[in-house]
Amino acid sequence: MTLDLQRCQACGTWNVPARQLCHACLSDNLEMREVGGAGTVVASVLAHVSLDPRFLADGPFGLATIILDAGPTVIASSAGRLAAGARVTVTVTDGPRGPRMFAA
Amino acid sequence: MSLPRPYDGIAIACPVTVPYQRFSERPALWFLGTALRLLIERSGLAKRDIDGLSASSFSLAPDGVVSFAEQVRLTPRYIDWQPTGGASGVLAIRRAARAIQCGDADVIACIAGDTSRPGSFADLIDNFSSFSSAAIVPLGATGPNGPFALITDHYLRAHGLGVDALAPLVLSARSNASRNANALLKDRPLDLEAYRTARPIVEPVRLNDCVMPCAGGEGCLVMTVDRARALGLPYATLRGAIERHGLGLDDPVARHGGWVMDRDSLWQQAGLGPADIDCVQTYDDYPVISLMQLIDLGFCASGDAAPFLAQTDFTVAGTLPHNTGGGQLGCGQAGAAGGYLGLTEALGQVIGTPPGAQVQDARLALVSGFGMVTYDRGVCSAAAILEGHQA
Repeated sequence: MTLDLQRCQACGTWNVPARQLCHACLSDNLEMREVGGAGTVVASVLAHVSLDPRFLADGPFGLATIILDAGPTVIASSAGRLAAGARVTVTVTDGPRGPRMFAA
Repeated sequence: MSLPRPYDGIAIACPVTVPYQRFSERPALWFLGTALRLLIERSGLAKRDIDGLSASSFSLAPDGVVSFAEQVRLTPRYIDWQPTGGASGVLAIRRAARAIQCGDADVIACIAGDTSRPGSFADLIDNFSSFSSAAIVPLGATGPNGPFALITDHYLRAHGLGVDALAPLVLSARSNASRNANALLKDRPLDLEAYRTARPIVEPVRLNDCVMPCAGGEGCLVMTVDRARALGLPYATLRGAIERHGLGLDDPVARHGGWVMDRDSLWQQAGLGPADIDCVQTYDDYPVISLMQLIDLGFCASGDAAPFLAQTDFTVAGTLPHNTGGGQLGCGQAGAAGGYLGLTEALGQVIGTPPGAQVQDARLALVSGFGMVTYDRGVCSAAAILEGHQA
């Protein structure tokens, strides 16, 4: 399973979220590149409220900060609250407000 | 890193609050304008005497500091727009102090104000920043609760704290708020059992860990000490001030604010240490951020969070009076004015006119600010130390 994240073609730095210039070297030579979705949970929470009720259609949902094995850190939603330290895989799925990172 | 030159000869005076309301039909222009009117009434100055203006607001668009000045017919020779949310108060007085030292202005009104309507908070969250719109809103539209719950989860575990460990900061804020007529939650006392069993918002964050968005305004004046004395105004001098933006972005989850990098400068500027401070006002959008400030600024050693929280009395009469008017957790969060609440409270305490209860013999206050969750953490940090003087 892979994700597309933005990588600087000048210095190799991953830029998450995607931006106009690389945060490390300020190059604008940035392209989306595949990266493995496997990673480790470093923070996780369970949301009972949302400003958009569509997110709560199936009850409370999780959010987690995940360090991918390839290096970059991403924030993803999840079905429930993930355990800190858990091994997960992050993919991109459609959500009520468009594509989003999802960890399982 | 060079040490900033002293803020000699500068007076911060005349803290004012435009009373908070949960919702208001009046726009931000009214709250800013009323803060300005209160500053004029309380100081005895004429409007034309105010030749500098710093303003902060989230709900002023499409207007800004220029159109506000036009509406109230000010002709300032110094203007400053502080789009820095919870750090705006300290940043405003820090810049104003330098402008006055250099003669660029004589009297600068520093004001913040916001309105609040049903639904306005959701609109603000949807469009808070490009990062947030692209990468946070699609995850669940949790507003700041999501990112701050992640910070709380991570911080609690990093410091060996249980899920109820932050309760002393919340309970003391509500206790302090009970003595402040302007606090929206003044009649809503909270005990540990109610804190523990309150409904979850984004676990581990529960209802009373969150601020209530509201409308309101705050402000103060910056001028020379000579001018403050001539006006007969009690005032505070600025013993030291720091700011830092964007520190620690390589940390997967925020562990520090910028204070940790600049606290030695702050204490060295002031010639003081944490034990000298009579009251501390931190930016409490969530209690974990207050704890982060108290640790990063040196009031608690990094490994000692659990005993520090359990053994410190944060109430007005306590061992470390903290957010003595109730903070945002007790008063409400009036948008960008939340970034001034600690400043006006610190100033009120050291000149003897707090809106709520007075910390006995308060002479030195530290105020800390934290602003702008544009992705998953606040990126603006600031702090200042005020010393009170009678006119």
